[in-house]
Amino acid sequence: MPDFSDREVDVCIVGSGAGGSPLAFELAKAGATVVVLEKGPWYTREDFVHDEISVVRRNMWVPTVQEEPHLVKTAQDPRARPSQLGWIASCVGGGTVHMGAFFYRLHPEDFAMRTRYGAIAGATHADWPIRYEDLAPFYDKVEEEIGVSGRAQGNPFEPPRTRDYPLPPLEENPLAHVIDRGARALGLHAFPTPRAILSRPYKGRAPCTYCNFCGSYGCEVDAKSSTLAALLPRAVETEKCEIRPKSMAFEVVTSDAGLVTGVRYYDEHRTAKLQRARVVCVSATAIESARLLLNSKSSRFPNGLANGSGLVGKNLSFSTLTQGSAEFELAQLDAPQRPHHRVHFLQRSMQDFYHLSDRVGGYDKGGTVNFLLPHRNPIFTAERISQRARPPLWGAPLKSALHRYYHEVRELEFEVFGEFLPNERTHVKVDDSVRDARGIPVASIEVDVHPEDARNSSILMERALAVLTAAGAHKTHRDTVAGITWVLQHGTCRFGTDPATSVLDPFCRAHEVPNLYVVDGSFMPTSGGVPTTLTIMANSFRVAAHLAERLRAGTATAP
Amino acid sequence: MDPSPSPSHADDPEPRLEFFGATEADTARALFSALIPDDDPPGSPGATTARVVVYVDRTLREPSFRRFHRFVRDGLADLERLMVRDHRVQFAHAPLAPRQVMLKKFQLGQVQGARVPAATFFNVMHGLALEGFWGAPSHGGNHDMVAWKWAGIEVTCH
Repeated sequence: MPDFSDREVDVCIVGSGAGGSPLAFELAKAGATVVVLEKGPWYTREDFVHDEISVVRRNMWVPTVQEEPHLVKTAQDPRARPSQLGWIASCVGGGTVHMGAFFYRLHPEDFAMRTRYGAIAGATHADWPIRYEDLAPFYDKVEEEIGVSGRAQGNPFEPPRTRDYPLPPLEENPLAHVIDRGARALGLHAFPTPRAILSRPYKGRAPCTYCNFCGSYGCEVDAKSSTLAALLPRAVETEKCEIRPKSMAFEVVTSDAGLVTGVRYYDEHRTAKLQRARVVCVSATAIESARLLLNSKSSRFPNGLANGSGLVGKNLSFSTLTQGSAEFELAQLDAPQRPHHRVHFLQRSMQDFYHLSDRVGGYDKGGTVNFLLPHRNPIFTAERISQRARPPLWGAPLKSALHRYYHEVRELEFEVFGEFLPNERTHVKVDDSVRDARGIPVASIEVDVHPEDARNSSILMERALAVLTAAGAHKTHRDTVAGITWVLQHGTCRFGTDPATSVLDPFCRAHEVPNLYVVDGSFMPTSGGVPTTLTIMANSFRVAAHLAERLRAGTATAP
Repeated sequence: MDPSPSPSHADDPEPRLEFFGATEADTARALFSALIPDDDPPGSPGATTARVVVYVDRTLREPSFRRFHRFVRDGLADLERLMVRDHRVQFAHAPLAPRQVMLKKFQLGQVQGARVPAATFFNVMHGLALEGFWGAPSHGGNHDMVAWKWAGIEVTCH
């Protein structure tokens, strides 16, 4: 791998996750010299053990509150408190390393929420400056490049596609037929969940071994199509791309002429360094990219880099979370469904509630229902069962409840990826008075779920539970209504054609800074009713194609 | 039933504790065995069989847990002091039922005179106990995978 630390490269990318990696891969293949600055460590397969304590309950993925807090203020608690909420993953590959890898596309109507719904009090949703058709070829590209498994035409609500998935769907747990039974009874349409996980050998990587520890864990066989496994090694092979871990960017530097000239960062010894570059792409997550820009002040940009509009950090959105579960007595299940099965994936999703018939003519936006088996993590399971009671269970009652959970019932659960309207009470700023262990002002995040999304979350809860009840569940649990899936974050540098109402142009280039791009979830004016990792990657490929052309033509630093 | 140190097999003795002092260890064992009792339901393992105290002792010695040291020691001292005050018996040597009555009050924040915030102390110690019972044996608890075997789950940590 080259060492570009002493030279001006063509492109410096901050962040190696879903946004940064497709850019690094495509631009290096196109012949550009690329440095990727990644804040966290470069894990390898040997680090990916199934140890709940080490991996999930300590700080493998995100900083501690002592090292680097977020300040979080919610509607329930008006004081901004130090928190670990709002991080995705600080490591090479970012959140794609530990994701559950649910890869659905946005739907065409997701690109024009303002046109569809008009003004909604308190909400700041806007149309996208592109349409589904502009992104569709890049959805194809992601699926083919990294390996996504699924079956086209299984879902009557799926957006248009010209080809099938490159890989067939994953194997499924026999309890999937319970969902099918419930769906059939109600005239609904469960389909195999598309996953960024290999069901067959693909491009030199091995397929899934069904280890049952997927979400929250790294994949020890490289079957999960993280950017760490699927893109970055190939970027490095070009010999044009250097990935520099443990490098925390703290300022994007600009010249008097108003162009960016590089990125200042702390290396692993906390020494300040400068990586010079002709083009800078910030891909650090919607929250942290906004933080970096807001901390990059200069006389030309007193309110933060590229922030003449005042919009950097505003219009932050997440995914509205609805979660529920249901218990099935073993006697109600077919014989193959009773034992703990080799395959832990349930693999059933439903988009019948992408729009809610209860709210026709109003704000009818729902989302995607993802039916799952509860996670295998034993400590988490004990806490989850404990916290169903008020006050939480402990002692012999908790042990009895857990014995029942493991031996007498099977539980199925669902999570909904619901639209999250950007709104006036959800945004990120920086707080100069609170600094991390390196001395960098931290992100201060305020969040509130819009009442329209909260209302629809309640409806989605009942719709999804009805499927489980129709399938024979004898007991249901309403776990979360109007919650927030923090790892799905968007909007803080929204794109658009008008510099007064957007930070980036339709190719994610800052309106005010011709050689600055922001390429993660920050660009999205609305979140859609799906998890957005696939969309962030597709957009990154789209921007990469455009930027590669500009670099070739020598116009990358021109207005 | 008096809580007692974990049965030591000649070939598998319980590791020496290094965070808890001798009397603290007695209180800690009594706390964990009340939170996750052995043999209730009958035949089931609990904190004692699983050696939860070994896990907690080891974890509290990790650098990121140093800030909990005062809190944990004060909370254990509170348990002892309040048990003697209210029930005229030491927590470490009390039967299970009065220990659980006291812990219930801690959980609900209904103790008078505790130095630590009682509900927070309960939640932290219960959280550590659950980790020590259900976590991988390599961390010191879930001895011989007794919890995983009882649940019938295979967890492979390669």
